[in-house]
Amino acid sequence: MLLDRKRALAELGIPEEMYNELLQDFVAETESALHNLFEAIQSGNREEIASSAHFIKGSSGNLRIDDLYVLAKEIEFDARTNKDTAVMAQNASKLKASFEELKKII
Amino acid sequence: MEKRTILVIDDAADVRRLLAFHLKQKYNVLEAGNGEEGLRIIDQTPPDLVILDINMPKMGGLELYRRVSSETGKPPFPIIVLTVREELGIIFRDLDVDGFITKPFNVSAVIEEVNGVIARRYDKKEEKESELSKRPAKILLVENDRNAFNNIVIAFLNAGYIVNSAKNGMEAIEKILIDLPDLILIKLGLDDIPGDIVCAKLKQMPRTMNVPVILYMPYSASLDSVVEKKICERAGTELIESNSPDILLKEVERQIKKSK
Repeated sequence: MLLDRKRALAELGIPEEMYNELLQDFVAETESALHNLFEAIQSGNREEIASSAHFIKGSSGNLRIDDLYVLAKEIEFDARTNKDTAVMAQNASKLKASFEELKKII
Repeated sequence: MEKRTILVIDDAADVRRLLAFHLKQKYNVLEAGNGEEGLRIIDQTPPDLVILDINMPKMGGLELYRRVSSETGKPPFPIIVLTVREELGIIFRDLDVDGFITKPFNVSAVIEEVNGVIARRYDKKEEKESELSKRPAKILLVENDRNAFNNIVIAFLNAGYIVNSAKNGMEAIEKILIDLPDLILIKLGLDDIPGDIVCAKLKQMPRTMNVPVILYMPYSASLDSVVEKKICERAGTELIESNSPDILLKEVERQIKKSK
């Protein structure tokens, strides 16, 4: 499940209204982080790839958006361990697709 | 009683908002988005506790730690570090802090950690003592041999203890920092960091220095007394030359009684 709202609310212990606001902020910030991520992959800038992925990993993890968290974590790890950028590009595309799905359901 | 002040330093606005929402029920909460802002706030309003992220733009958590510790070598207030699991080793090596929370964090674990650190630093000792006498003692067993591990765990569970476990020194350190046990039972010969080195580091850290540690090894007729003395000096504790569950159980009971 892309977003288990019930679990997130229970684990974070916050009102639904506040969670929705945090999700909206997450969407706005992640748009820009994803843009930076694709640019960094294009130019092969591993430091920037890791930094953008790290940001998405942190925010998605905090809000319990597990699919995005797992993909961002993998991209960050690959960037820090000098893996092939083609693999990172594939995961970034999956991340973008999941993110677009998320926008539809929130 | 006046509310204590907690400063949350993290570049992620959602983390600050989540923590502030919960902490404000009991504390005054101040927020900073990086180390530079954090230092400015610390200068104006000295906090009673700081929750500190490590990776931040402008000034990260390690630099802030260094700046606030420059006068005495230690920060003037307790610090709880928010970090990813992979960074725990580096942080353990470089910092003396009061607590660690790994990201993504569990909100109730953070609140519990904050309350615990505030109580340990500022509240009366008696409250802590009465809490321990109400529940079974929690032991962390660090043993890398499966048979010995099974025998010791069974004996301790049967005696009514809560037992957590680790198979090597690094795993032990991570578990100790995340969930502080009442006593640590650690084998000398581990596969990564020797047990005596782990003991020495735990004795240096404010958060762990008062947790009783028992260092043990399977009986060896060839252990040189000079070597044994050096191990004990380094570890800051005695070395029990046995891995017999009965002997360890007696020693643990003695230490728990002493710490109450």
